Amino acid sequence: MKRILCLAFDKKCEIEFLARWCARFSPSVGVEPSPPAESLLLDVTGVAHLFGGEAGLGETILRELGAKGLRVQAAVADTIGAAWAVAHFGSKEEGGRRKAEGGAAGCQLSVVSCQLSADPPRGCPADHGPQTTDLSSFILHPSSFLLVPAGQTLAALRPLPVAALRLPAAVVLLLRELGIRRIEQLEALPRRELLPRFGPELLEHWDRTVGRLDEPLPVHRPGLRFAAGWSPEVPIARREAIEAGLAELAGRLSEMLRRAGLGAMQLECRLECTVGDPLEISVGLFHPTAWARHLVELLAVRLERLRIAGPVRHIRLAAPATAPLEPRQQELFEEGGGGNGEAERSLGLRSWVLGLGFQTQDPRPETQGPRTKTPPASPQPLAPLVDRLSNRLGQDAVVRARLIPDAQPEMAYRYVPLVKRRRRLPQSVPLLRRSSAFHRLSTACSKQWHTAAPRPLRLLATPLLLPVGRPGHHAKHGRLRFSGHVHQIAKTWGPERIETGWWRGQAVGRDYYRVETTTGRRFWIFRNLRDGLWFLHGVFE
Amino acid sequence: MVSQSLSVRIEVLRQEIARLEGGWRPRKAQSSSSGFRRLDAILPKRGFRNGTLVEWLAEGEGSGVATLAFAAACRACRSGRGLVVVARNGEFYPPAVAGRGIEPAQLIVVHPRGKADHDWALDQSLRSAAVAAAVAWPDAQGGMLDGRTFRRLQLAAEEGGGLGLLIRPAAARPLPSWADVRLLVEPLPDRSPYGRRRRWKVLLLRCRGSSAERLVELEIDDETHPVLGLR
Repeated sequence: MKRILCLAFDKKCEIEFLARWCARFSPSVGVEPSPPAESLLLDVTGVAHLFGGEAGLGETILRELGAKGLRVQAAVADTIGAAWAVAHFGSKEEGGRRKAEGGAAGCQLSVVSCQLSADPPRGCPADHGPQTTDLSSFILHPSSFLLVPAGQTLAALRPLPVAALRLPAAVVLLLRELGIRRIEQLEALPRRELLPRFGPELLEHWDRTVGRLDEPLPVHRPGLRFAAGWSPEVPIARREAIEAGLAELAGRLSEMLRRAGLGAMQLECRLECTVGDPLEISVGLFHPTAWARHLVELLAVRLERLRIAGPVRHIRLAAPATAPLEPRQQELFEEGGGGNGEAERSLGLRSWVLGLGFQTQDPRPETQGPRTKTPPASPQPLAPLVDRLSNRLGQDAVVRARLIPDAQPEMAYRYVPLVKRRRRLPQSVPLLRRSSAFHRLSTACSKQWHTAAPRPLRLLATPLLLPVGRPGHHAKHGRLRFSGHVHQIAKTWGPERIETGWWRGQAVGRDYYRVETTTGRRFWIFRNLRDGLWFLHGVFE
Repeated sequence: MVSQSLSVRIEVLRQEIARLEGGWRPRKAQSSSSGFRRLDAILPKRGFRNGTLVEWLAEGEGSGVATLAFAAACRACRSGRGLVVVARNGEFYPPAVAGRGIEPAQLIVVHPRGKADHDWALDQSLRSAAVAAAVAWPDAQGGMLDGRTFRRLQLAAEEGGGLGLLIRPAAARPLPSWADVRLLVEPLPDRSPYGRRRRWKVLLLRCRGSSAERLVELEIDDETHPVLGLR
């Protein structure tokens, strides 16, 4: 039988830090993201005896967390769901009930320790008696530890509200509307009615909570955390000082990253001011980097556009997303010689190979082969430029064009943000290359990229309706009015008939003509086959 | 006597100009072909010098000036470095550049929202050594390119070593320029029976290190790839 301990914190806290800290109590610690705040789940199966039983374990945890100034509701039960439910809802329910019943015995919850100040092992006799479980005080002193004995899960759950099953808000609301507030009411309902009425989630959560279905512990694998903070002695308001602080932090962060062989893929900066809300800047990167100067530049660009409400009392810089830097043998005589520059230059080289050489499934091996294998003679980092541009202009404004095999001209390409794509696939190149979907896409693009009838460099966002003298008149022999000029069409080439789009419900039938005016200007016009109207669609700029 | 002293003075001044211009040299003095043999022939370095700006002036729409600029840009990108297009109002059509000897992954399209962002993005792109060429329409974003920005762009190109290709209206002709080469492009009507050729009259307005205006006629084949076909 499994035993799970759940720690529910009353406010948002550094859950990852606590998860790591809890590793001293259990080999597997999980983070449960259900609201209101994240809680920790500890698999304490076969562990409790090391702390003098489950009660002793609870006491120890509560005491040590109390010493950190944290208030916590803890519960031990057979399943994750039950431990979570009792930790979050048990103490209030129990406290309320006990109070109502005047402390009647016979409940299934064993209250082991309720107050940290009245902590027996420390032997500090507090105002309240050590073991006097004055349950009404739970609400005032919310640190509590509840123990559901093995096999009594269901009994412990019955008085709890249905929300204790970690249900979506909509389901809870629906249940409440039907007058079902407590789990015991839910239990009384016929099981086969639940699925069609409330969806599969309710049954699944219910079965998991009572132990009919197994629920794996969402084990937290403590990744390395990269963050640095700095509090000036007096709050600083001058931008230069703030930027100097940021530079210092970035230096520390980059040192940490470099030691771990990682580069930041995302950067978060938080400025706490003496007045107003803290300012938060989040920067996504095109390519993992551990180059302090580059990080600072990216932040500075964003910072100069922000209005800082008041003096800054704390700056925190973190890299929540990282990716490995690929090692590269360093040159003996590296140009510049700066430690930071070297690493970045190596990154640049790699970004070159992966950024610019990956779409090379091309039927022209003699021209493509060398480029992928050996990078150009003097590879330069493109990634810093992409980062800088995306950072200031927005990720959607810095894009790479991907051609789509679609006959409809305006559908024949798609812009893919450079930074966003990298963030979604933070692995290094070989993985990208191997990924079959990516491979397919890139081959499709490459093939398409080289075949096309002449296309204009400028395609109007919406085709411009051309006024034609009389109905049925062929515009390709007439005049064309565009941006204040009237052009006499002298020659036409076409038509290039494009009929497509029926499969997406927007059938398009057009006859495209390239036309040349008497002055040698070229435009791309089409006649809509549905209504015979003429449109200007492109300009051969 | 007076005329002789005047000619001497002019000669001295010319030498002074040559000296000043000589001191002003991008770090990498290599050049990159314009993509047209005839145009290369009238340029002193047989192409555009890397790390400089090139102005393409043309009157009106549909003149094909951008086609010429992109031909030069794609030539510059043969080194494998990137091509940045600072697009104007989202009407740049990437499939048109396809098949001109440039890899899809080499092309970065930037959509700035205003003039300040446009100038900044162009500046940053030129400043980056990873960019072989940047194409932009600097006057399309409300207002003509001003002299200070122009100078900054020129310095940026010098630092990055790439080619800055600025497509501008013919109205910019009387304005001061920091470009190494200024070209005025005028389309010519097609004369071939099948209409596969596209022709231009290109006037070399100014070029550092070269004599006065030169006129050259260029043409490309529309069906085959312009850069490969036209020689």
